[in-house]
Amino acid sequence: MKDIHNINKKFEAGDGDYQRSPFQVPDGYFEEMPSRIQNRLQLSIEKDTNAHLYILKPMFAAAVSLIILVLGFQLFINKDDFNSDPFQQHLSLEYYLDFDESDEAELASAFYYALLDDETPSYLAVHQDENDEWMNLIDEELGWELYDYQ
Amino acid sequence: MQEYSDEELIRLFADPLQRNYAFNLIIIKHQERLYHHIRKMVIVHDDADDLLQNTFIKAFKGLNAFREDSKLFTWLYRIATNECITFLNQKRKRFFLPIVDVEKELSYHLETGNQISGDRIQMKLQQALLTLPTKQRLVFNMKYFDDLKYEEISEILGTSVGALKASYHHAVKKIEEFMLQH
Repeated sequence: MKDIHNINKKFEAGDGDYQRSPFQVPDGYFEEMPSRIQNRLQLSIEKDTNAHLYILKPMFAAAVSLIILVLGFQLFINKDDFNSDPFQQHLSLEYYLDFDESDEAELASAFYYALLDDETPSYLAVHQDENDEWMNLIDEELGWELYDYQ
Repeated sequence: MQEYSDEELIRLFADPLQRNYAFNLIIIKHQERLYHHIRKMVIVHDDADDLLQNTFIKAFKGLNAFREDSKLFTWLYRIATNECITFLNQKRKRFFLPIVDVEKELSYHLETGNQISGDRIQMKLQQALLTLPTKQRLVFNMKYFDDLKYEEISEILGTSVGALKASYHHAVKKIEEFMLQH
């Protein structure tokens, strides 16, 4: 108890021992501090200088995303154009549709073109003839639907 | 090394060619007092180190706009004090559970941490200080350990001298009670 009163007396008087800080620092801490702060300042200044890049980065990403979105949407609404086969169009126009049906030779050559060309869809090579009894017979027996391919 | 006054250092800092040199001199001149001021508040050396560096970096960025109607040292002290208050508030927000409090954690560091070697009396006083509210602790530290005048503390904390005197008086009473009980 006597001790405590002495402590309190010392405390009230602002005794030197009391006022001394118990906290210590590693050796050379204060000597290194100016260079450490200068290094951090350099980094901080570089960060401030490059700040516009950090702002532009998300803007750039947003612009690229928007472009991809617009292109994707265009691709989606025009998908029939993109899916169409130019060769197929070429064949149908040049070799199958624009021939003279009355000319047997031309009809035969168009038909053979279609048969010989692997890339030609088979349905283009079919020329339905309503008078063809065999075709009607096959459709009835197999239950195929009749499509007008022309 | 030539000893410059704060006014001379500020003038030197205004010259872009001398800026880094002047700032190094400012660091050398004020770092120890600022470090101990911060360390007494946050206890842990690594935290004090971070806050001291932040203080000087903020000072470097704001020194051009520094108005010489207050002392450079008082201004640096204010930045350091604000850094401490922000740090402790952030720490409190992290320990949102009521069973853990920052002061208990700091008290634990005081008992077990590195770079602390006070005698029984000094450690007891530090433990007592951790029972005080942050602002009272600041006032007590600045008055008792750093020997600042009330007018200077008033400038740093933006509080009236009367309120500071009352705060210091309350702090002393609480510390005395703690000393008697422990």
